[in-house]
Amino acid sequence: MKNIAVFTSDGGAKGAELVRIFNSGERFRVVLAVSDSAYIPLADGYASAGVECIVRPAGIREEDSAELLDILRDRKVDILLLDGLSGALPEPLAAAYPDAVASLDGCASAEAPRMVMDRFPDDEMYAAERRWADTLGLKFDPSAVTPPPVPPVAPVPPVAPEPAAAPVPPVSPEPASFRQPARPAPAPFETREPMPPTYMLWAILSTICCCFPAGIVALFFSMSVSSRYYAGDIERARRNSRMTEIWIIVSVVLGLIGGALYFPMLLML
Amino acid sequence: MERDEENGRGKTLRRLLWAGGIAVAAIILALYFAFDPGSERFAPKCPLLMATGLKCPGCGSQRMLHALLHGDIAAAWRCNALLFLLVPFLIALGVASARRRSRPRFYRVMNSIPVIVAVTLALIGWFVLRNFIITDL
Repeated sequence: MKNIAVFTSDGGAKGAELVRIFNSGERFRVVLAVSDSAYIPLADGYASAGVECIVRPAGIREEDSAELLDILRDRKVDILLLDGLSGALPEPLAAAYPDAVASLDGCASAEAPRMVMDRFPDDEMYAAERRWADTLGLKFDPSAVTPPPVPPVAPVPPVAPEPAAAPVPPVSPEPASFRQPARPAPAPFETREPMPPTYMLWAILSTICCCFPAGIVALFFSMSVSSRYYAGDIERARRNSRMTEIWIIVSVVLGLIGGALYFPMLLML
Repeated sequence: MERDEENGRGKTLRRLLWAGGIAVAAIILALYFAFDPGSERFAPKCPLLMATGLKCPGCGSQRMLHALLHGDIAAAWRCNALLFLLVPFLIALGVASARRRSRPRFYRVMNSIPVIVAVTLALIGWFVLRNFIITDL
């Protein structure tokens, strides 16, 4: 973490933006703002961002250097950032921070961290990237690293819209898998079509008169027509209705075959 | 083929089938009235009974019909007890089937699951009872 002291003549909105941009990351922190102008109060920008401010309305002069240096060392400042300082930085300060002075002139606020990072590559910064480069046998180029994006000011989240009214349940959904998924409630009886024919009467008669086992199967399909209809699955009900028909016919046919096999015996008796 | 989509030809065909069915039923009833299936040779016999000696649930139904047509209730009961009890139910079922669209709730009740299950179990139970438990039923 590098501490930054900003030397500026202007402390307005740009100051607040600068502080927010720098402090939102993990690499830099603006800890001090020094201004040589009283016209634009620092309170608008840096102070409101919680940064300690020093104002020297008479300008930052060489006589103040020793005092300023003490303050800078006390705050453990690593980098001096010049943001539109009308005057020049006093010589002792510049000498105390060799290669640690950067100017934001001609640089937009959003690019400030990138510029500072390029200017002051950190040994701890990009440590992971350096290790990767060593592992892969490549040369690490810090300028090719994409800086982390500046987090935008979070907008006020919009009020969630009211959920739409529950849709009308469909009449007969298709079951997708063997284990029937949860389906909407079946429509009430008054709106549904009448039950598909169960042919129960014919199923009973074919059980009694024609063929007992086939008739029982036909009765079973009759029951499934009823149960599927009550569950709301009209498609299945219709299909089972057809199966009932088929098994009734099977029962009749088997009964006729049985009768035909024994009819000659009847006549002979 | 859905009844709502029927054309003129389909309707005539259906009416013809109904008339034919009623005619056939009338002939059968007349035959059963005239002849006693127990003594006549031409009445169809149960193949299961002849082959295995087991009485299917419908055994005695022809004699029962003959007795009912002559008004002999006691004999009808002796021929096939379950069928004797089921006759009013079967008549109601026929009415419900014919009136499936005009009285859907009646049809639904007559064909509800408890009813069908009861009938199926009664038929199977009657078969077991007749053949294995009380053999002269």
